[in-house]
Amino acid sequence: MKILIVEDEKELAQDIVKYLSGQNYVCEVAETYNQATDKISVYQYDCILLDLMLPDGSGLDLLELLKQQNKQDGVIIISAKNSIEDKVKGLQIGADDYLAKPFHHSELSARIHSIIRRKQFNSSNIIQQNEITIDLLAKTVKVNEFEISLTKKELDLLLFFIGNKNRVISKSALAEHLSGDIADMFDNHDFVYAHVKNLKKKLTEASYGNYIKTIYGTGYKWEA
Amino acid sequence: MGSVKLLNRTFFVYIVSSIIVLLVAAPIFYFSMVYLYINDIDETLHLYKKEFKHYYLPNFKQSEIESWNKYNRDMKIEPSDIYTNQHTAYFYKDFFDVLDDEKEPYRVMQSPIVIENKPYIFTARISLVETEDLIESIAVVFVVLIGLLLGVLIFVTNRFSKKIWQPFHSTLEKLKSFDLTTRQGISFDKTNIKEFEELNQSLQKLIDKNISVYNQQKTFIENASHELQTPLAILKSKLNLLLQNKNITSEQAELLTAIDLPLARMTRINKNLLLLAKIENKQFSEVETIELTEVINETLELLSDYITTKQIIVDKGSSTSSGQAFAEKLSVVCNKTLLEILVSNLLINSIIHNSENGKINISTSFSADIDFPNKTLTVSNTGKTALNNEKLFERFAVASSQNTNSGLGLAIVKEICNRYQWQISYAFENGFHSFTIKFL
Repeated sequence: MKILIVEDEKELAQDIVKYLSGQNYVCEVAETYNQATDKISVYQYDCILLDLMLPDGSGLDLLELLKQQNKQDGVIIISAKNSIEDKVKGLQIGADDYLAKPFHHSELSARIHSIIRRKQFNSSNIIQQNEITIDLLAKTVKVNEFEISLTKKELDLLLFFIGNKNRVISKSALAEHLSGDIADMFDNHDFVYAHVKNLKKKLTEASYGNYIKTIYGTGYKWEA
Repeated sequence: MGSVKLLNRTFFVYIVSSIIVLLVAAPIFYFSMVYLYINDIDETLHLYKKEFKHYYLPNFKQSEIESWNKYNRDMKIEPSDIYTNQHTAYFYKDFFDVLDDEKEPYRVMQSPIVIENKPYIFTARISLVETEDLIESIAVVFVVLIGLLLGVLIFVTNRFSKKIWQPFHSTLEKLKSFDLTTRQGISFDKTNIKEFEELNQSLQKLIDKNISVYNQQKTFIENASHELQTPLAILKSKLNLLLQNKNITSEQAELLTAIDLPLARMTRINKNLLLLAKIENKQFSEVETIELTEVINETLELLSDYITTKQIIVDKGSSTSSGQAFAEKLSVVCNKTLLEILVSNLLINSIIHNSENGKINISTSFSADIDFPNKTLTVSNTGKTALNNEKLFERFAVASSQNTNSGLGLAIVKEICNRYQWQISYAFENGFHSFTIKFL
């Protein structure tokens, strides 16, 4: 899986690369508009992370370019601008998703995961992970052929974990994934614990291995 | 300290000074009157003497004295032993008046005369008006006069001051309705009174300056919070990378969590500041008709996890005290994003500042009066002590060490209300903090 990160903030780009590399993505970085156009024109990416404000041009122009070239790359806009207008404009031109800065790596990863899934497994929509099989369209989860029933939030959580396997995910990142922007307004995210506990319980009851590890109270990790 | 109306203050000064003038002028007036009066009487008495000396004295006989004294009530001739008393004397003396049955004051003149080589004293007297009567009359005249003067003064002042002060009142009205946050300047009416024109010009300058400073400040806040987004994002991602470190100890993990919390708070404050700036800059312009109750239900759904964690009971409609209801249909015309922010901020507020097992009451009301279509939303939550009503909606007013909220939630709510001229009010009743928004 190949990902292009168009971001002029070096530090941020490197951090994203570091995080995503740990999930077996191949990452490339373009720091300027010109670098990005070169790469986009030559290569095919599974997903492009696009910052809108570049030193020598606008990310929106890059989107136009992709459209002109009929490229099928998935695009997630990552921007400090988070007004509705910007979002709508970006999505209208052809971005698949929009993530406002600052964001959690795990959130970004989950969104990349979801876009690649949409782009590449659009018919099957089946995710296989160890003994688990998730049908995204039917929204069913099977453990060793036995179906278990999960709430919407538990399913969300499960997909988030699988999308970020072997990474520590902080409680606040999980809260943000489950409640969206509203989570920002709270310091107490104890409800995450309750959902994780329920999910764990249901998986254990279906004799699925204990893959969700608690990390010193800071967060959780899906070890596979 | 009560403030007094300028006009009343002027009247007060008028009245006090009139009383002082009256008190000072009355005795002066009285004494000068008395002086002039007595002078006049003395002259009359002197004339009596001259007449007597001129017409009667040359042929006056001692034998006529008795009959003279009998028929002249106010002029007497009495024998005198003293030849030497050459001077005419004037003095006051009370005489008993048989008719009035009381003593009356008189002005008396005594002058020595010689009748048939014998010394006599010619006495003439004129009755004086009783002094008390004089004082009374003077006082009455004075009071009437001063009263009349004051009345005219008040009438004229009242009549003209209204006209003269009119530009001042119009300026005052405009200042009262001035709101810096709208960034709309004021244009004052032209006036031909120099002082008011100067006042208006100074105010105009002051306001223009304020608006420009306010604009600069807002731009600064917007730029600053915008610039902060990226470093915050870097901090957050670095922290996350650190978290991925396999050899991390529990102590370090605790430290990371401790860093994560203030970082989240900073992100939140920054986000809210940016949002405030955007609302103020009127960036949410498109307007639509929205079902308020739907927005409330959606927001409650989003917040359900937080509500459950705190075991808060949410009660829609059957409010505890006021018996208000939850109208099923209540549409509001505004920007959808702003309404969502408003509702969620109010609800988030009622969750954060609630106790475990507390209550949240949400009620809406609608009166279809054509003249006063009245739509309200009230969100109340359990609380202990009333909040400071004045500072409540100010930025960072409620942010304190014990509370990790951004301190901007209510400021944002207020800003949205300002934007649509909705009224927001706060009350603390029966252990409930209540926020009511009146949609106009």
